Amino acid sequence: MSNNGIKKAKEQVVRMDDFVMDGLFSLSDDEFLQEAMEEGGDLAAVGEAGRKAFERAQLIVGKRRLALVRQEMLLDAKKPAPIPKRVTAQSDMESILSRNREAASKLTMAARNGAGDMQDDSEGILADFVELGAISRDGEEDA
Amino acid sequence: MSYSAPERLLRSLGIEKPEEIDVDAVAWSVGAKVKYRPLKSCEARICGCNDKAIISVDCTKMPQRQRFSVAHEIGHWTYHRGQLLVCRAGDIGSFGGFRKGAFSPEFIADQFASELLLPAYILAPLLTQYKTLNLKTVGEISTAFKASRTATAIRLIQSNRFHAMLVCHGQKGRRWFLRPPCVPDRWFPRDELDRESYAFETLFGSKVEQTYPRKIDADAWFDRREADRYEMLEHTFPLPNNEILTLLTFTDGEMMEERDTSWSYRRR
Repeated sequence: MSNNGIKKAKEQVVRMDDFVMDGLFSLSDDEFLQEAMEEGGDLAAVGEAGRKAFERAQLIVGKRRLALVRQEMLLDAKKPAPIPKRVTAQSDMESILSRNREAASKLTMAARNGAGDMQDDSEGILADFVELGAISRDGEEDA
Repeated sequence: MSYSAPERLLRSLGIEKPEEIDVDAVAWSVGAKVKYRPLKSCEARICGCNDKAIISVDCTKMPQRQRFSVAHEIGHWTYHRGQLLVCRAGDIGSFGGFRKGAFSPEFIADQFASELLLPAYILAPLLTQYKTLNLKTVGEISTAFKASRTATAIRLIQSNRFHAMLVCHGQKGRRWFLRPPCVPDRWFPRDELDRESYAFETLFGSKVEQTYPRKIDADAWFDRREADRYEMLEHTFPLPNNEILTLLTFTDGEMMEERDTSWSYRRR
């Protein structure tokens, strides 16, 4: 078949798809159900097969998404790690967090199995907030 | 089949097998980057700003605990965005919901983590091959899912497929217990460990895991008159912080019969 012929055939398939889909969507749920019952099929089995097909499709799309996530992670791992910078006393961690507690918060913070003084990890916490853009590198709050 | 929030998250990444549960990738998919580094003040934390976050996990802890911590922080990110929370060591692990409310942020994050690491839609088909629950089963499943034995045991009890319960004791008595709906609620474990129990020896003596489940009179565990008629299996393993976890398996069908023990019934 020539290139022209292939193009024409594809257009016909698309038109046929549109025709079938338009037909399906023009039916109400009740009409759709009535038609299926008249055909004498096992509706429960059809429904179950549809659900399984949908779940299968969801997983296939999910796997593609996971592959993209992994690519992004690889790219991120190649970036140079941000160098933690000591911030000014004026904007130390406690004051940033307490101001945030009072205001409508854009910040989130949770610590699991806290046993020590959070100040012991303050440098890392501040570095994280700098990396997230909540605090500028010179210690001013951006959030 | 309906899916919980962590299960929907896993399915949105096409995850179908235990070995595919990559918590770092799951975190990334919701805008949270995971960093493994030594931490002094906690086991893990999440710092977030708007819709981006960094989860830091103490790299000196056991790998299974690190995984649980990542999953726990994803739970906070899902449910507690915009909040400042600190969970203390004493809040950890009381899955029965007796020590901390079922609505406490830590309980919610723990439950999220448990369902993310051991999702029912992957776990349930695997469980059909197991007729009874014992620590060997727990060990096999925890290895497959790279989860701790404690988290796995809790999830297996929550599956409500086995006539068994978990009881955690510390030096000062019972800390929490977990009983599935399929076990009648008249079986309420004693506060204190019975000196006859093997668990007592593990907690106050040997501190080592029992190599196999031991048969024991049920009245060593339950303060009920009928308990002296039955035997059950007890299998204990030590936990960190001088605690032990005991898996109690009900082997007598009579113990699983529902009885009306209410006051009105007894008066008749």
